[in-house]
Amino acid sequence: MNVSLFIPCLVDQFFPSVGINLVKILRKVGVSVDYPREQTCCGQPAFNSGYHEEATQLARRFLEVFGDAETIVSPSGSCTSMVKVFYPEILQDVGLRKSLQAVTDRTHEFSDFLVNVMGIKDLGATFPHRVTYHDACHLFRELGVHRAPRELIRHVRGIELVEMENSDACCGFGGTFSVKFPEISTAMTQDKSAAILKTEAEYVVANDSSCLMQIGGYLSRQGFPIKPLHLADLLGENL
Amino acid sequence: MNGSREVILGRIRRALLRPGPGQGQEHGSLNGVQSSSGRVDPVQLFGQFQEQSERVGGEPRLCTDSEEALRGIQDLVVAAAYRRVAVSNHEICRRHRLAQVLSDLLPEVSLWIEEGNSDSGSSRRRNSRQLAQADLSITGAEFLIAESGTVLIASTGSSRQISLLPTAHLVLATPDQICPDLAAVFQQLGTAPEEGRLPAALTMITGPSRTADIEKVLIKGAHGPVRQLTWVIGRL
Amino acid sequence: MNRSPSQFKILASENVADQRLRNTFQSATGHALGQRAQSVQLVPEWEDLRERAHRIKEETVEHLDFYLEKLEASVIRRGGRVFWARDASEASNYVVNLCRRLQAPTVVKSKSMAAEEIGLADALESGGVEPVETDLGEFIIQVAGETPSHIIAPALHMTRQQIGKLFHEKFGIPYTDVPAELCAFARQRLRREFLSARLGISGVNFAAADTGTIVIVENEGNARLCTSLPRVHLAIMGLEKVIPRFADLPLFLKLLARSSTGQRQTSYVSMISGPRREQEWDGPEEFHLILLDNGRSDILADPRMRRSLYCIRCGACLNTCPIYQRVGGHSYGSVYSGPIGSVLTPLFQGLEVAKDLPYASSLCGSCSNICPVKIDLHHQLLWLREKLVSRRATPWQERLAMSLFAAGMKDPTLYRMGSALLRLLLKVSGRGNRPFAVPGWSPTRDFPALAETSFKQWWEDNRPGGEG
Repeated sequence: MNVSLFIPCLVDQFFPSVGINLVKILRKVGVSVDYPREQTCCGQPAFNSGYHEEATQLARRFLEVFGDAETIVSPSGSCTSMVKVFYPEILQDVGLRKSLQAVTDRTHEFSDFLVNVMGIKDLGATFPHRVTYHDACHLFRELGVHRAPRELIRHVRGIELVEMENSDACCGFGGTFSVKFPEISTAMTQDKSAAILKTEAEYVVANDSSCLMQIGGYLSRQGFPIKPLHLADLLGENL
Repeated sequence: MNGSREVILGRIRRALLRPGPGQGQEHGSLNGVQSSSGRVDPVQLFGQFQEQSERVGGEPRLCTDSEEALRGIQDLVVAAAYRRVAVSNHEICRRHRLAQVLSDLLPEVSLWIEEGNSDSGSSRRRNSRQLAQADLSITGAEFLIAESGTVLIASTGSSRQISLLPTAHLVLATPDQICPDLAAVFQQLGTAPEEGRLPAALTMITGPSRTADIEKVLIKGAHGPVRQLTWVIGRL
Repeated sequence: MNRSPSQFKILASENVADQRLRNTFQSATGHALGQRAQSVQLVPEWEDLRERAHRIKEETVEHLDFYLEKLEASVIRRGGRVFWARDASEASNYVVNLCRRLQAPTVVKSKSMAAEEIGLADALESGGVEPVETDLGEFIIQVAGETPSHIIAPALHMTRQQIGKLFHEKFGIPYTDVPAELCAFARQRLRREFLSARLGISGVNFAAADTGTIVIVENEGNARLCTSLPRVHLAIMGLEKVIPRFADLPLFLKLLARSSTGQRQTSYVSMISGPRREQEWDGPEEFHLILLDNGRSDILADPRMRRSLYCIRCGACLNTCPIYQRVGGHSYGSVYSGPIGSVLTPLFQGLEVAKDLPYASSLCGSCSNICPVKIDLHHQLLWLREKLVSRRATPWQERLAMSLFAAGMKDPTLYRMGSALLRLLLKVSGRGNRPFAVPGWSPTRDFPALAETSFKQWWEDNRPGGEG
């Protein structure tokens, strides 16, 4: 199988290890990995702020860049849902319908891909730590993925997964929401962090770098030692 | 009818020229009624009614016969020291000759009997004031709903206010009136609604009047009865 | 206390800082959500019910003219009267004139969001009629001169001490903060009003087109009193409250009760078909129904926003919304708060007045997820954002930033060069890759450092020789 990586711009610029580890994981499970170099951003930041014209241009580009891909895999539930859920809402032209359908069908968030497409739950990783898992909103509600990441975590040797209260409550990021309404956004993170801290976990794991940036940014500012960790990093670093 | 009618309908029709998000269903292609059909054991039905009614603070009870019910009413009135009791003219109250029996059993209680229904506005208001003073009212019901512990009453069976103004409200019913759920009740209504044969008011009552408007603290008897009792008379 | 939706930013940041208020809303909404979850769990076909309700609402709204005419005919057949009101003043005038005809100095009123929406109470007062709110929560906030902070629990923001003090000051009763005593006082006081009022006003939860039946859902019994005792009953409903059939009620009642309070059934459900009939004991002699447009036909004209008219006002989206939970209902500066308020208020009052509301969401989607009629609420917010952008109502800096962003992202060479240039500049300036200070973000959260090497660069450098 050939997998084309879809690396969100946030990961590209700030958290490249997530992409690197994803490559490692995919190679480990025996698929060939390709990275379409022309890719940039899926357009979500523009779309979410109401700039649908700009977002539509980027969506069209995405279809061009990934049009021939056999399978598209991304380490972000949010950007995956942009493609799978929101592209069909903004790309209404009949001419694009076919290529759009093809791309949305073939795009997968990585944990969903591993567990539900490849049927792999155990990657052979070892991580003797206590962790808790945050359900990122888009992954959880737009894509309905919540079992797959937990399956992957549970099969890690030595790991202890402790569920937090309201694991599917929003972390408060929400893209530009986080800077448009910093007080509300911070209040949400504060409550999320309290739920995380209550688990006494060493790491808070999620499948979206944006949530981790928000939660991690708050936790480190408060001086709490608990670390944000992307599931791809957890798995890839410890193979 | 007024001038804005045409304006509003015109706006709506113009707006609807643009197709909506869905396909737009056929008229009448869907129906909300979906009952858990199939025969249900009456013991089980009453059991469910009882459980659900109790859950919301209602006071359900099974009386095997008329005599037990009447003695029960006597005990209830004595135990709660009710002074004024209102009896509706509902068919079930007449069948058990409540007015007569209660005046014999409870001579010290002032009984108010609802009668005549062709009264004027002023006598209705008098009745309202009477009923607002009553400690207990006794009426019948059209249906009981097991799923939610609900009784359904109609404005044709007894007045609206007799079940609303007194401090406690006792509904008398029979086992065959219990339906599994609201959908089943609606099925029993048959074509009456479409044919315009609905009473002006059908009311579903589920437990006593309540509010949680102050700090989410549950209080019974906000505006309506503080106690809601439902007694089913007969063998299951 | 006149708040405007234009003040959302200010009100929200004030309210989020008020720890007591925040605790009140978080615990109340948390409680409601818990109750809801418990009762929904017992309905295995819940998702199916939501889908059916969505389809029925879709059918209704897509043929709204048909169903409204049908409703009107049914109400008239049952001896009721129907008034079509284009806007708030038409509706209010009708009620004021009715009061004049009835020579009614006071009216008793049960809860109605439509009446709140058009400011009916104020209009009545200006018309010389005293409106008496009879729902306990509404009564409290009327006495306090406040506005509702939650669709279902209007006085949610007040403590028992505040209410005790209020009653003590306004009515001269001895101070008490025991909820049951406060409630008993209100009951007794309002009984007098019920017994003397000539007009009772109610809202409408559902109106069945085929039978002309209006349905009112409540727990206290005040709506029953409003619709049973006075000589005249007037009900006011937004156009979208119509449902096709009486037979649809079991479905909608099930969804509404469980979604709003987690009850299997509310204490009272009144199904009213016209005025008292000849052979009946009591009930109003006249029944009036106001069909209120007030902007709804405009909403209908935008197919993307049409679904917001499916709303059955259960309040579940408020309870589940992480923003509502932390800022409370008053921050929205409008009768409708929470996610549905963020959708409806800009549509009713104008986007320019309420331009922060569509952005007052992290797009977490829990509102759409909980909605019993499956309104895609967070998508609706996205469409409103798009409307604002297309009207150039967003800040110019943001518009500029987005154009630059799109230009950079459209061109992979530009993206690559920009990314490399940025890193070079940081290096040359001696700043290294220390985190930036980002306005709005950095006061409360650390911002991550730019990676020394982007993923793109890493891929270039480690171009797989023999992968697979």
